[in-house]
Amino acid sequence: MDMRQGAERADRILDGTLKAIVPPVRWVHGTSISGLCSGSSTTGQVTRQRTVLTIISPERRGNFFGLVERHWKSSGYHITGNDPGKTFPSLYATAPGEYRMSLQIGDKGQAFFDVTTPCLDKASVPDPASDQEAPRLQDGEIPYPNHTSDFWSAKKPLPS
Amino acid sequence: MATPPSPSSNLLQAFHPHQHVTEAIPVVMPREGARMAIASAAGAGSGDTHRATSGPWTRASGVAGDLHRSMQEDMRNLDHAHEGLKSGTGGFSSASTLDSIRSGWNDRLSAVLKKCRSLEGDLRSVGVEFHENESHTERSFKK
Amino acid sequence: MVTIDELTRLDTSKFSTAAKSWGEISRKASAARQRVDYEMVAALSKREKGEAASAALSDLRQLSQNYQYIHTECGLVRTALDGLAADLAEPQRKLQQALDHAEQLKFTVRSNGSVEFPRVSFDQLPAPALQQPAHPDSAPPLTAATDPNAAKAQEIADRIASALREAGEIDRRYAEELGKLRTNGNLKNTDWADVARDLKSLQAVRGDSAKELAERKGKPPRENARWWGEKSKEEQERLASLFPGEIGNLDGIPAETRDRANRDYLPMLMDKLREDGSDDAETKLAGLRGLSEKLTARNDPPLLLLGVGDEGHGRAILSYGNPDTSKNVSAYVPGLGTRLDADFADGTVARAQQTASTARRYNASTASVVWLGYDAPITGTDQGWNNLDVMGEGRAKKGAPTYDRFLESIRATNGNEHPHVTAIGHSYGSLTVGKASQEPSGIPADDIIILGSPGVGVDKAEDLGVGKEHVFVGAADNDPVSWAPSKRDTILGTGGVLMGGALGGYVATELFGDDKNWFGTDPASKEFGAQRFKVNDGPAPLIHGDFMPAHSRYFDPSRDPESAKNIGLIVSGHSKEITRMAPR
Repeated sequence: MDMRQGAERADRILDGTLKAIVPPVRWVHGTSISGLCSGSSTTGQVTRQRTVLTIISPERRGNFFGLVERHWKSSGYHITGNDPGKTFPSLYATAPGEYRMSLQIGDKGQAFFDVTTPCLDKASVPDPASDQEAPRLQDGEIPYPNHTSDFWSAKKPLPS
Repeated sequence: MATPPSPSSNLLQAFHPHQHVTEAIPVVMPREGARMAIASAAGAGSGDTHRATSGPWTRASGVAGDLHRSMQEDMRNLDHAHEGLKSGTGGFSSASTLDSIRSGWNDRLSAVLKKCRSLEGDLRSVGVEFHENESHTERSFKK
Repeated sequence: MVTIDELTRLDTSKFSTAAKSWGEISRKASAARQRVDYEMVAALSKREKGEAASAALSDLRQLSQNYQYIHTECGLVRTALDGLAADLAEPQRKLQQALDHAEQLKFTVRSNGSVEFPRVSFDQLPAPALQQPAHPDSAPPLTAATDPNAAKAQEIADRIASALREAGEIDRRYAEELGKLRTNGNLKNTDWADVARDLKSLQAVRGDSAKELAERKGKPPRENARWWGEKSKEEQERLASLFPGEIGNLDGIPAETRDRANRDYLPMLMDKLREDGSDDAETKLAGLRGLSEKLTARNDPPLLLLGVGDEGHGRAILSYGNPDTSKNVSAYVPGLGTRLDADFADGTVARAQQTASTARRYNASTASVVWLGYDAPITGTDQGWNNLDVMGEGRAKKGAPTYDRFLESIRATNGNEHPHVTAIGHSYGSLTVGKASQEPSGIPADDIIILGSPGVGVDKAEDLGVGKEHVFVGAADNDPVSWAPSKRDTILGTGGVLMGGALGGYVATELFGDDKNWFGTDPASKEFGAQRFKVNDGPAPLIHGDFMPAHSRYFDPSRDPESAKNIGLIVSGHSKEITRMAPR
């Protein structure tokens, strides 16, 4: 497996993750970062990122995390860490083959997904891809969450 | 069929964060089920779900065309700015030296202009070539 | 030889008008090169290649080179013509004054420059007086008493001659410069050595500017920022095109200007190293090649080159994000073994990208800099222990004031009144940060992050001068660099430590200090009193292969997500949200 194939697998992991979120959220690709693995000149890793544009209210955040965690577990991934801080919680997991992923909440409650490949043979890496539709954006920075979802943006917590 | 936005030529744009974005462009493809999203970002070649498509090559061809036209204009402006240089600078060897280096620069700028023009065609051809192989790329696409 | 007629008729605006259009070509060539790099080469080089595609890419790279060449050389033509027009104005003015003076006195100026004066009548002269007109450069009359008009006429003739001489010299000098800026239509010919020579030559013609810039290096960044801000846009452009390396590396110059100037300087610096051919030059060149690749890609966040040079082990300062517009700016000092080489361009620079990427999620207005503005200790190569670079604290002490200046420059050119600045010291770099805090004016940082540190040269966090609540420490238990020497010796064996991979060579315990000579108290210890944030223990050290994996993971969100997140939180101004671990 080389970096190109690894990156494609990372894209598919992300596709699967986002598909598991129901109702669906809007998202865009973030930066793809490729680099050599430390101490090597023949292997490198790739990190794919996706940024969610749907507003996820603090009240629905737990549910969001729950969905993602359940999907990762049911996909055979291993949850490696959980930082349930109030302001910027995050969730970490690994997939077989040493793919490492995270869900992080950042400024204004925005959700970010990352998947990083293991160290793989050097190859030129294609731009991030998806089999889902994602909104077209103007040139420039990724906006803060700007899409309201009846479900995800609702202020009422879900009945338990 | 949606057309991708034309490449931005704003110099400052390059210094501003640019994200890879996915656009939804409906494409007629002989595949069942999945809607294909062709990723393209204004002003930059972004990823595709195919290994290679016409998108970025054709776009690059457009840039070459822009540069070709731009250089034509620049050369005209340069000529214009040197009109009448001889009057009001008589006796100054700087002026005659300036005049003497102009032809070499005209050659250089023309060479660049010609290269852009030929690249415009070449890049478009490469784009067409790949697009024509779409059934081939389709087979090579792994799910 | 310029005649009176020619100098009076001279219209310097012809040169200025021409200069403007050369400047336009230069500017547009720079923009064109970016389009070729970002929208064509970067976009297409990832694609599968066929023969036609490969040929196109090779053409595109050559086109990019040509645009860069056109940008630089036409910029020099513009500068030369502007200089010519400006310099000729003075002798032209002087000539006109002399001519006006002659007219006032009703003297006649001949086309050969001689000045005729009306003769005073014979009987008013005390002795035989010279009746000839005063010729330029003629010796003064031998008689003691001279016709007063003769003296005046002589003076005017001299002034005329001087103005013509001056104009002639200026003309000659600039004609020579312009002649060097000749080119041809061969696209393969973009000789950077030639360009560098043209640059130096033109710099010499404007010797005043070169001297001024050399003086600026020692001045406070805020002063330099003010000095720059007072210049007209044209003057700034002229200086940047004539002195790209100097302007690009001058603290106090706005970040985007430094970036543009350094990018212009880069091909010339690379060519210089190519010509050099030594091992040292090759190493630096490999580093610059790596940087060049990153710089010509489309980056997010944008990548700015704030400093580059070949002095010492090489200099490189890069920022992900614009440090002038961001509210939060971090500056990371790398440590042991860091020098300008391929590894730096790939791995070390990646840490700044990782920091920026993470931090910007918590506050989008953030930039992260990697600062290689000093010579970090490098370990010996294969010559064993005897070739150790055991300068101890020396290197850190030397780099400290330079780093402080850089942090000052961030504040000086930042558009926000109070940007939040974080100093990050990793490994030996943390000692540099520590030394920077001990400089007379202290360290101009709001927060300090210390990672994998062998000591920062002080015994208490508060001694760093920013308040101990603003000192944050990341130390992985499996990171040998952060261990006390006695523990290291116990685990790894006496005296030394084998390192493979990128660091190469050997490191002796002396470098880290012996039991009593630790570089100050362990920053992760309770006694030190800093805020220890949670990091992963990291993998145990190996004797072969990647020897100290735990030493290099602090920034890596995929290997130590907790550490990377904590660093990002501090840098973005959210230090309250970090997760902690108990001090040692």
